[in-house]
Amino acid sequence: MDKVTVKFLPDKKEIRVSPGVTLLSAALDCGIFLNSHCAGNGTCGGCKVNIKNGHVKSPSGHDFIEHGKKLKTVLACQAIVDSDVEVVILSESRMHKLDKAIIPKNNKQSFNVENLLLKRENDFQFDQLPLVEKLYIELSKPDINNNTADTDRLLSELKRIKNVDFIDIDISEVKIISSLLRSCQWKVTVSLYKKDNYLKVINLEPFDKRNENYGIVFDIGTTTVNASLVDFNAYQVITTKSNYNKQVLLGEDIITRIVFCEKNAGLKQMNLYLLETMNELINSLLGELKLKLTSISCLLCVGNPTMMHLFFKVDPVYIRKQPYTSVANVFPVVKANQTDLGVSPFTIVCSLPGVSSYVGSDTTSGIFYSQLYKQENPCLFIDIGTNGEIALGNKDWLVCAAASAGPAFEGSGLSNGMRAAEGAVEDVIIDDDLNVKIKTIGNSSAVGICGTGYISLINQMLKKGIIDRSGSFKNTEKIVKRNENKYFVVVKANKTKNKKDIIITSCDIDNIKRSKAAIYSACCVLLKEMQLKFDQIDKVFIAGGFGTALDIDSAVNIGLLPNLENKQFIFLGNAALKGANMASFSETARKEIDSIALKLTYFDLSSNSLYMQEYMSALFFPHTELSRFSSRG
Amino acid sequence: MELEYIEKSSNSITSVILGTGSTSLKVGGEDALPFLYREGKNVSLPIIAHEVFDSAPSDWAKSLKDEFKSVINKPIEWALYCKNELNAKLICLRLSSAHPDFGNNSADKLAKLCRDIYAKVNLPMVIIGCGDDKKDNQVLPECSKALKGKNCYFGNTTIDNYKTIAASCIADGNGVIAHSPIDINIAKQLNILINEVGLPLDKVIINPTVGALGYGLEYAYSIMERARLAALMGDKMLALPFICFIAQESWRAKESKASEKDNPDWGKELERGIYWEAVTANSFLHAGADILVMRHPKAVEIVSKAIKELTNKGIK
Repeated sequence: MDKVTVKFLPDKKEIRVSPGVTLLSAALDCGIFLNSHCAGNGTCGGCKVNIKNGHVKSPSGHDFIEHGKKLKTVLACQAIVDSDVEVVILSESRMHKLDKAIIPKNNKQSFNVENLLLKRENDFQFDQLPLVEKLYIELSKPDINNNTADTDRLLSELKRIKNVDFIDIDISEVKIISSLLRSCQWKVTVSLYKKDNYLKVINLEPFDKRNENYGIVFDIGTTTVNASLVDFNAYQVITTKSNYNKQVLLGEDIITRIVFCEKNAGLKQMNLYLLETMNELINSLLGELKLKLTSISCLLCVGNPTMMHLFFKVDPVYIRKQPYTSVANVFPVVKANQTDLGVSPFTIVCSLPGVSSYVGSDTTSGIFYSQLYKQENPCLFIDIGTNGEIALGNKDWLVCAAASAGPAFEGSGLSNGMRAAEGAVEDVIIDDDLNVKIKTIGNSSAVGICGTGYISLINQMLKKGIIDRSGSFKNTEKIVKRNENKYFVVVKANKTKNKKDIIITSCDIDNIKRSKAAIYSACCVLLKEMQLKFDQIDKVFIAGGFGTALDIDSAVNIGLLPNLENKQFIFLGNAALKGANMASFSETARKEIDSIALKLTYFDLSSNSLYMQEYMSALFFPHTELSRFSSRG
Repeated sequence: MELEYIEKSSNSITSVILGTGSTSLKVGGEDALPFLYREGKNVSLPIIAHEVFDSAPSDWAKSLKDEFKSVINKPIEWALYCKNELNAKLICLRLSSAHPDFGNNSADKLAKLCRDIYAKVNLPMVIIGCGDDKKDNQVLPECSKALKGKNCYFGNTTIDNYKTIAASCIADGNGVIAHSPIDINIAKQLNILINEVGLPLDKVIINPTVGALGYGLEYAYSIMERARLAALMGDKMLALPFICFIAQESWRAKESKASEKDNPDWGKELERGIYWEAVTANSFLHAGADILVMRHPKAVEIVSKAIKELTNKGIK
């Protein structure tokens, strides 16, 4: 059958597709991300689009009139393309890209995050031994008196320089070595990978290429993928970018994705979507500095175990099934040509060690970055993400647990939730007449509400008596009731970007309540298991994308964070990525992360009866044990 | 030498008064687990509330129906019968005819019934709605108004439906029955929520939900026990008396209803029903029940006797 054209407005992007594909996948092929929490099952209603011209096959949808013209709204995941069509993407259906910087909040509670972080990095005493070292060698030419094999010639010179007895090399390098050495007059740059006492030649380049030694570090999150470009000569992070993990289209959380992998070719598609996301990030990182692909010597990836499995295209199915085993916590170092990443085939792909089937290398590198394992007194490390990770410990011991918090704090799965990007409501004040004042990121007109916005909003709604402690709306006239659903208008339509009310529903409040309960109760269980109390905790390190704008008082008032003094909380931002960046520069850092992974004792919360009890009593604002929290702020 | 292990509690259960004047009753006040008189004072005796329905129950076992044959269609007479013949001290009136599917009687009509019964029997009352949130929110406030100042208790309030009922009880000087589904957290949360609306804690009685013998009794028992232990250790929000709807559960059990013909080796139908109710009630006495809502006069007699024996021994 002939291909047809799908045109997306207002992006003015066009694509030729075979009839039979859904609008959702056509949009994705154009690089347009639509909300799809239900993995395209047509149940979440996140991907609504208007059909402007032409026709699609759709099981549902409704007509409406605009400017005297009949238009149709359909779900992109259900609409099948069968002829040329023009589609208008609704702003609320769009997943907001993250490339705009998140502006840290500047008020009395705000910490000077940047300074704090700089100070931290200066505290580290780390060596300068990057993952891949480039050595420039001028070999003596062979003659009739010295006709040692070319490979032996190179390796023996390398062994002499490095003062070791053994250096490994792959057959792929051996195959090209002779012509290469002769083409560059025996002047060659060797890329060496080192782990403990093991050294391996991973690439050979003609002439001196030592100044072209870069790496890309990835933090592969369930919802977001962050990447930074690092310079192994300057020991600097050059730039950092982030984008949605395209896999979001195939399911919102880890479990849905593992289930998807059980489908025919599911793993392949999952892997493909992730690699597409990563390749786009690689291109945008390199494009900015106009770097060549060959200047990337290595990639370092961290992520939760499921993400690492999907990245390496390893079936994650056993993570979900009792007794919850992962295929590997530590993945081997591979060359890029064993993956479909768009980098030079000689680039090596490394990862950091994980701990268990639900606590991965993002946690170990985050713990490294927090320096939890060097603290004198017990401290907590909380990484608030879709899969929340909690660690507790000090210089002598470390324990950890994973709590499935859901994506609520990343703004996903809520009526008007969004990532912390421009236009997101991040702070809310409600006065005594229940009028709402908001502050948005970038001070632009409101598009949705991000995690910090929801925390602030719920705190204010509790204070002003709009909701009770169980989270249900009280009988005030400000509550709108439509059918059986009640909601509260946070921003009126005329003040939003999309000219539609931004609301919070009882269902949203319930979601947030469950998320905060999961994280807080995981902290409680770890503490109880170690026979500690919160007042024995010295510091709480908070990691996660939204950490910088979080208002501590609100977070304590709703019962997300334990009731400790504000000065005890330390925000780290994306600790996983920052820790991994350092690991790419420093062998000490890598060794410390290895030892963290060995030291971490994993507590499985799903089989812990205490967790269920704690969780149930945390399903209240702030908590059923009111005495654990005193009102503040 | 006798080995003694005595545990003293740091908190006591809030005393709750039902009714007014000479017929008023006091429940709660315990500062030890039930009947452990060496550990504390169990100041008030557990009380049996006699259940009266506003319309003839359709699903009752024959043996039970026979007992109330003459009054089963006349709630006022039924209440009087409980008072005069069965020596009831507390009436539990069930407004099941309010339910939209089972009579849909109006708020006015039921409020009048409450007023009339109270006028005739002059006993403290617990009034339980039909279980339909919307209808209960219409009916119970009217009934509360009708019994203004009589210090009666209205329920069931739940975590999703407490605001209207609690507010009218505050206005009329009545109290509430706080109902939770065998869940210690929800029990406590509901007490906090009701208290935050403005109803003092000494106007709240916990209905923790119970199960009959063989139908989850142990689970309900352990939840009550946990709540009571937490209360005695200082948890004010759980330190409230319990009301247990014994008969409602025990007469639902197959064993109390099945006919002798179908199950010849199970023994007499009437005895089974009575024992099922009595054994269930007796068990919950030990979990800390303060009010037992019961039906069969014979079962009431057995349990009253048990209470007397348990308490006499202690009071010495």
